[in-house]
Parts: sequence; C-alpha cells; structure tokens
Amino acid sequence: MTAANVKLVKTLVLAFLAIWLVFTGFPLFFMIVTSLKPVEEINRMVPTFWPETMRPQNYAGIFADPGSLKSLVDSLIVSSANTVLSLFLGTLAGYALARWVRGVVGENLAFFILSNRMFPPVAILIPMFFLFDATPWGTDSYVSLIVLYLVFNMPLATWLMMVFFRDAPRELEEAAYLDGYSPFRAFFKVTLPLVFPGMISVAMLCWIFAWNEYLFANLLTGTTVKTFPVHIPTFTLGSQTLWNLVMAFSLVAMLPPVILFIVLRRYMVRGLSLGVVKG
Amino acid sequence: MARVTLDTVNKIYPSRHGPVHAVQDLDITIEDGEFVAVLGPSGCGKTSTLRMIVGLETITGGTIRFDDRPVNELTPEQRNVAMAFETYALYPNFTIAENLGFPLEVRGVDRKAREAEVLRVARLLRIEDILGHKPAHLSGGQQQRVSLGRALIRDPAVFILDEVMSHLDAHLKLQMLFELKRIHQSMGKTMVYVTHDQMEALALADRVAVMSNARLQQFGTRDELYHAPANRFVADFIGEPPTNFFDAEVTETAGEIALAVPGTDLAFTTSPARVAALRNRGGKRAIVGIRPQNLFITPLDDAGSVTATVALNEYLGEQSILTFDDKGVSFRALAPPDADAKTGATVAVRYRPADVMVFDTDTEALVA
Repeated sequence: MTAANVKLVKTLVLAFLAIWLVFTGFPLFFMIVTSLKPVEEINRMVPTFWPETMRPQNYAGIFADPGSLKSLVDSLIVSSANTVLSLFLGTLAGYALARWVRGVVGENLAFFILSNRMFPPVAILIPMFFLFDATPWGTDSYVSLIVLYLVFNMPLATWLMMVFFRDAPRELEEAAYLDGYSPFRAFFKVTLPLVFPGMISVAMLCWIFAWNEYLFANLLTGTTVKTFPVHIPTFTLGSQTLWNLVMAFSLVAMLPPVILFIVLRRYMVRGLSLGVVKG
Repeated sequence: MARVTLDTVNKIYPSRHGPVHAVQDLDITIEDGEFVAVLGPSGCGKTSTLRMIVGLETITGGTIRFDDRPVNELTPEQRNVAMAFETYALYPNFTIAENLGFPLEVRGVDRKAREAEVLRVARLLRIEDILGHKPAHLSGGQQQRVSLGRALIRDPAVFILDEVMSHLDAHLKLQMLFELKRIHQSMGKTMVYVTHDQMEALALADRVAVMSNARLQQFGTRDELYHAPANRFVADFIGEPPTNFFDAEVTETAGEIALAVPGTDLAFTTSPARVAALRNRGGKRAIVGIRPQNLFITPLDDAGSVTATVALNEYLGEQSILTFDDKGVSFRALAPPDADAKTGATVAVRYRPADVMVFDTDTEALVA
C-alpha cells in the first residue's frame, strides 16, 4: 500500500467511526435531553435539541409514584434470582456435557438444549400463561417469571458453560484426581476457578435478558409483581405519553446494567474471549 | 515402590465408526525401581496404556497389578500413582509452592512439614527461586520441572511421565534428560516414561517397550533393541537415520548362502547363526536390514562389501549421510565428514556380516 492509500483507509475508518458514533450516541443524547424537558416541550412539532427550560425535577417526579421504585426492585429480584438459578443449572449441565456425555448423544443433546432458544418466544406466550395459571403460585408472582426466564437463559448458560469447560484443560482435573482429590472437589477447586471469567460473562448475559424482558412479563404479571419494562407504559396517560418521565425512568433503569458491566468488564472480556484465545 | 505387571491388558474404545482396539494383549512386567520407557509412534496405544496404569481409563480386559495386588478397580488416588503430564497441568491460580505442596495438602500433611518438603523438592529440581510465582510467568522448562516436582514430592507406588519433554527445545531437553536420570538414580523409584522420541527412550530407560498398532513389538534393553530387533518395525523405528531394508532373494552357491537384491548387483552375506536359521526356515525370499551406522566406505577387517554409486552426500558437521544408488535401489550410510565420496563416484561399501539383519518376508519377524 502506498502512503496515500494508507491515509485514505485511515480517513475512511475515521469517517465510519464518526457516523457510527452519531448513530449510537444520538439516541442516548436525545434520551437525556428529553428527560430534562418539561411536558410542554416534549410534544412540539419541531423538537428542541436542548431543553429551553431545564426540569431535573422529572427524576424526583418519577419516584413520587410509589410503583416506580417497586418496579425496579421487582426487576432486580426477578433478574438476579433467575441469573443465579440459570448459572447454577447451566454450569452443572455444561460441565456434564463437556466432560461426561460424549459422542453422538452429547453433541445432539447439547444442540437440542440450545435449539430451545431458536423458536419464536411468541409461540409459547399463551400456553405459558395457562401453564403458570395452573400452578399454585399463579402467573402474577416472582416465581413464575424466575422460572419462565429459565426457558431462555438456561440453554444459553448451558451452551456457553459447556464451551468454556471444553476449553479448560482436562489434564488439570486428572492431575487433581491423581493428587488425591475427589471429582467433586476437583471440580470446585480446580476447574471452576478456570471458567470463572466465563461464568461472569454468562451471568451478565442472563441478567440483562431478564432485566429487560417485556413480552412475557407484560402478559403474566402486572399487579402483585410488576417489572420496570411493564411499568414504563403506565407513563402514558389517556391522550398523551409523558416522554420526559419515560426517558428519565429508562435512564435510571439503564444504570444497574451499565454499572455492572463497568465493574465486571475485566472478566467479561476475558470470559468472552476464552473460547478464542488459547494459551 | 512397586513392581507393575500388565497381564494381557486390552483397551477398546467405542466410537462412531465402531469399536477401536487401542491396546491389544499387552504383557509387560516392570520391576521395582526400574526405569522403563514406552516408545511408539503417535496412536500406537502408549498413552492409553499409561492412562490404564494410572487409573484415568478403565481397563477393558486383562489385569494390572502393583506388586501382587490387582488395581483394576482402584481409583488413581487408591493406586497411589504420581504422574507428570505432557501439558504440565499446573494449577494456574496457585503459586509454584502451592502447586508443589498440593498433593501433600490433600493428604492432610501439616503446613510445616509441607513447606520443608516443597523446599527439598525445589532444591532437587533447582527451582527454589521461583516458588512464589504463578505458573503463567514461568518458562516451559521451569513449568516442566515444577510438574515433575509435583509428582516427585509424594512417595507413590509408581511414577508416570507422559511425553514430558515434547515441548522443550533441544538444548533444554538434553539438560532435563540428564536431570531426570540423576533424579531416578538418587531416588531409585519405579518410573514409566512415555515418549515417541527414541533418543529420549534410549537415553533414559533401563528397558524400552516398543509399541505399534496397539501391540507390544518388543520389550528389552537398548542393546537388544538395537542389535536384535524383534521385527522390521523395531529395526526401522530404533536408530537414526533409519535402517536400510532390501527385499532379497536367498541364493546358495557352493554351499554359501547369500542374500541378493534382484535387479541390482547388491548381495549380502550374514552371520553363521543367521545362515543356519535361514537354512532351517527355507523359503526363497527374505528382508535384509542393515543400519547406516554399520556401512563403511573405509577399509574394514573380515568384511563383506557391495559396490554402489554415491547419489547424495549430505554434510551434517560431525558426520555425513551418504545416499547410494544401485540400479534404482537406494540406501544410506553414515560416514566421517572427510570421507572421500563425491557425488557420482562408485565406491565399495563394506559391512560386517554380523550386522546384517534378516527378517521374514511375510511375518517381518527377525530370523534368528
């Protein structure tokens, strides 16, 4: 490549990055701006790109509604409990598939488990409602959502953990057996620490799915339990939607996953690259 | 320490394409304190054999005994075996000292005694200065020594070393071979060393078990393997460069038996014992094997000789490899670097009849 070509490629890359930045950054920017506007300003034909009057009270306002805080707490309970359960089951199943269920059966079983994620969720929306309605705890409960989200998160956790366990050298466990560990202790003391970064990544993916899920939560719950995605539509009042409150509340709801990601970023990157970078 | 006996041991793996017979009717007795190498090309069943001895693989048929106790049903821990792995298998989140002390910790040895033992083994392997490091920060040679150390820190019935040198560079390998030999001599423990490298096997072991195609080909000292290989495979596998083989016809003129290579002027005579064995066996054909080291272009007493043309003279520094050609049949010899053998020259190649090995054409087994 000539020097001119190098320069051209660099310019193109920068131009692409600039467009990409606008594309991803603008919605966030407009969310923040809208969340600071008063109601009168949000429904104009020509939108303003900076609030004419600042109204940070929107943030305080959303929590004036007692349902808002509770919906965040509900979401936290559902997504955290579901993540713990998905990770627990997925790790054990993934280990079994990676180490013990081998050959044709193992491959097909693993694929079958993952294929649960491939059908359109809408297909089971109504059946799930009747299914949970028949259980002692009913549809409108923590348990129903926690268990329901396992349908989506456990296959993902199982499959990813299986890949991570396959990449964890088997010799380490065998060395531990020879050194006198039982398979159980070898698993917890030797193998599990190796896949720990992977577990963190899986936990993040599961948690974010459960945190943001709307479709099932909206149909199954809404009174006793109300997760925040179900709460957001309540900012629509008869004739108009209070976009400023919707945006303010959404930004608050974004905080937990963003903070989690920043804190656990180190593990996330290592976990997600575990299958790629060997050595 | 223990004597390890393998009694018609078999290993069959199920697979998609039907059962795979990885180890077939293996009979080996490893004496107490002996250093035995299991040598063979990859896929010959040597690693399966070792994993069965250790207890990481079930035994499909036959019995493995430590002294007189069958161990087929025992776990690796109950068998009390120590193993060093090809990939070292150091616990990445432990320090070197913790890695070394791990087998003792599991057995409930108290901290003081453990630290003393770790230090003793570290001294033996000369790794005292890296005890506080994590495995990832170590060079390959250091990791390898730590993995040996973790095996050596216990007092097991038998040590198993699985291809432990295969990731070391040539220089370090020589050094480690020497160290390992020293360690074995100072400890006098039963060791089984698995490798595909004949140089390592011959350098280290008291006896070498050569395996190929799931079967034991020969179990013997390096002299036996070198001078009386049980069959063509062993003759070919042991020795570098590999043995020259010729398909020969057994001819008899005036009571003298000779082995002539059809279509060429090459004809070999062999030792009286082998001549007698050839007479007993009868048959018109045989395979002649002769090592490149046993062919000379310098004068030699009571030698036979053949004449051939030098096709290639590869100068390797300390010696040259000469490739000869005689009417399309080629063979190689080792010669001193100053040997007078220009490409295209026709020279007399001499040999001692006792060095001419004869194998059966059909069974490929050594004749006499």
